[in-house]
Amino acid sequence: MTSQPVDDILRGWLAEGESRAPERVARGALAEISGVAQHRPSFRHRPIVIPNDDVGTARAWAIAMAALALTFAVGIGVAIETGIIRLPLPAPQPLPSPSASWPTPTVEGDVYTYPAAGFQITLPGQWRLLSGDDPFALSATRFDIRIYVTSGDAQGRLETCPASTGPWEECQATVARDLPSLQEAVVLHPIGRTGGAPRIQGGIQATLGGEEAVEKRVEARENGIGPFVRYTMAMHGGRPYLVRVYAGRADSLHEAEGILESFRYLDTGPDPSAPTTGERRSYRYRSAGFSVELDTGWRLTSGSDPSTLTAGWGGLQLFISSSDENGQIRTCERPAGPWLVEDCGPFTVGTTEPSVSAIPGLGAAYEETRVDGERATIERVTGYEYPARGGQAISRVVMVHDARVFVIRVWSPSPSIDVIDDIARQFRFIDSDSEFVPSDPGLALVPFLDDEAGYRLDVPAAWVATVQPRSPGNGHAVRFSMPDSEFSETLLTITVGEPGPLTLADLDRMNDGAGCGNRGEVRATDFLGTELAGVRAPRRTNSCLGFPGDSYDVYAVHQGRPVTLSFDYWSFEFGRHLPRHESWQLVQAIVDSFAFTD
Amino acid sequence: MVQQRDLVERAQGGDRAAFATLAGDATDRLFAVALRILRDIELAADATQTALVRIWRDLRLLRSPDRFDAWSHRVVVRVCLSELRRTRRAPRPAELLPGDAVVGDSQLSVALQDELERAFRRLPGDQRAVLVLMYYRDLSVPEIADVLGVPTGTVKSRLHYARSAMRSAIEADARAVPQEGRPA
Repeated sequence: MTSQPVDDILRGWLAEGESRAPERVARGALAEISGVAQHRPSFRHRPIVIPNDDVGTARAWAIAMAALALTFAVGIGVAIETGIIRLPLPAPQPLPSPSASWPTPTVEGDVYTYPAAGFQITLPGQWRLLSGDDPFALSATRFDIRIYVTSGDAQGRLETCPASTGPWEECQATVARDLPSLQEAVVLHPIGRTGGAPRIQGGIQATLGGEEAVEKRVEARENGIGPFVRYTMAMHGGRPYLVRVYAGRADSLHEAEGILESFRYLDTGPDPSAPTTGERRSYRYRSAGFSVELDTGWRLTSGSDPSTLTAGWGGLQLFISSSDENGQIRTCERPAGPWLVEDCGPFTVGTTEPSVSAIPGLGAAYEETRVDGERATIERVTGYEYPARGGQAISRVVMVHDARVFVIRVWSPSPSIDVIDDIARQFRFIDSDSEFVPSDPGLALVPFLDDEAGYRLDVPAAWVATVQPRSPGNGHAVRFSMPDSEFSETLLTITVGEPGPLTLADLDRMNDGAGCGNRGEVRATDFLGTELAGVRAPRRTNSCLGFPGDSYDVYAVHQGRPVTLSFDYWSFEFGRHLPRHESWQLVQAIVDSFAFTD
Repeated sequence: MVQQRDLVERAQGGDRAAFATLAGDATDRLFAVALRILRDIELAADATQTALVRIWRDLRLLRSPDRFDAWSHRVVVRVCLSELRRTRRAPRPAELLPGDAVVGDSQLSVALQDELERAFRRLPGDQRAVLVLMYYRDLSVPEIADVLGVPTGTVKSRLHYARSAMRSAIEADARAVPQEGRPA
């Protein structure tokens, strides 16, 4: 049966199987590219390789390219002003102009600092800079040494060298998101200029700026053993870095090694002056399975969507979501913009043993951390290309808890403002199976239905409901108390007003007074049924003499009708029916059980 | 070819409709290569989609529009190799079995298909790519070198190792058949 030649068997075997792509492939790709800008080869470097041995030609090329670039820039400027060219998808916020957000390189003594590219290197002696003010690559020469230092953008795109020094190396624009792909991107050939084969070594362990690095080396063996080309590659902060040294002689190579040791990464860590008002408000998304305390500077933008929290603060945008009952999750409201290939989903992560692997990475290395006791990963991506150009950043936390996947994502207009660590510290999971069972069986929860007002909720079995008489047009109220006990005061009053123009924001303002007539403050956001609700609690310390009798209120607007659940604060705070911690669990269980029935 | 060149040039200028036509022509071809390298329909579909997006993104880097076919193969092969590296780090729980998806009606015995499948899966990604380009796409060694961006010598050595491994599988199958047929 194997009398057939191997080639025929392989040909026959590989010919079998599907050769038509599922429909989703082309459709998905076309949908995806609508948010993807094309990479411009001339954006960072000259696309044309200038011959090294012809300075005159090089100069002529440089002049021609400068003229071309000027013409192009003017043309684009005119075109944009006249509306001829449509720029790609808008980013979430007005964008800074590219030039304004690309810090230019600086030279101080022998120290060359490239903030946009994220590195600093020392070149002792008289070096001639070949890369001009390119903020993303340094190319310089001194005697018979040439050095080229660059880093990748948010997508890991970089060019491996500005111009090849011989047939043994191939300069190319490439994408590298990890060390193996970076190594693979540096293409070396055992081909000499004079016919002899250069010696090529790869996979050499090294360090670059303290990071683990690999080297690829060429000994071209033209003049004895040289010239030499050495590529040192490393990843730092999810970004590829590459240093290429060309040295004519072995002595020069030793000098270059000293230069490599001076290489430093420039990190833009969290800004200690990240915004804060010093006050927090808690947000409780029970159906989404989380709560979080946010600085009061954040303004909720997600309305009554109980599955996702979105909020804005200045240029910052926050998105928190969890996977739904179908095991699907969205990871952002809309993609970052053309500077980052970001897909918001929905992604299917599963329900029984959810996996975060279905969520595409942002192309950055991730850090491991813990959020409310669960393992989590944090990715941070800074925009290094138009229109972000160091002026935008995305941080994202992904974690799994109780068979759900959770995502926290912050879009920042500045990489130096990173608030996600603070938000993650204030994040808590809410377990879906945490049903409240009071220690007193008489306070076990039973359903209560108010048909007239259109709601239902669970209240302790021992509570008795009384309809509060109201004058016509003043809505509807029900009081709950325990008349047969020593606690005969009203424990909970539910008020449903007449339809009107009131909004939740109006109720917030009405409840958030500081005066004696309104002794409370809005401290939290929760849900009443499907409606976003405010929570007002009395101030623990106040100068008013209005105690007791103050209330803990949860209020919302449903179909124009204001609804308030008003708990007697002191009864619950001092735990007169149940131990104190159980009292507040009882309040929360009652609120959670509330549902509109219309 | 002239039409494809025109489409490539228009797509390089940002014409998404032209790219849609190009993608429509290339999708099946790229998918078939990806499927044969990855041996998994879902992975191959994902890899093809990723490759198409990268082709769009990097299309302006293609200096000669006439080389679109070879270049697009290079992109999909690179995506497949990345995918293989990724899946090697985090193996998929479910292994594709012969007959599941890749293999259809075959002139080859099931046992031989098994051996080939197992041997192929043991090959490094770059050797898989060389085999697929040679025996499925019928490319010559220089053409494969061009697609993969490696010297022809590298292609030849990869081909040598890959063929040796596959030959061993075929020979193993040949040895196994008489034993299977031996009376108990």
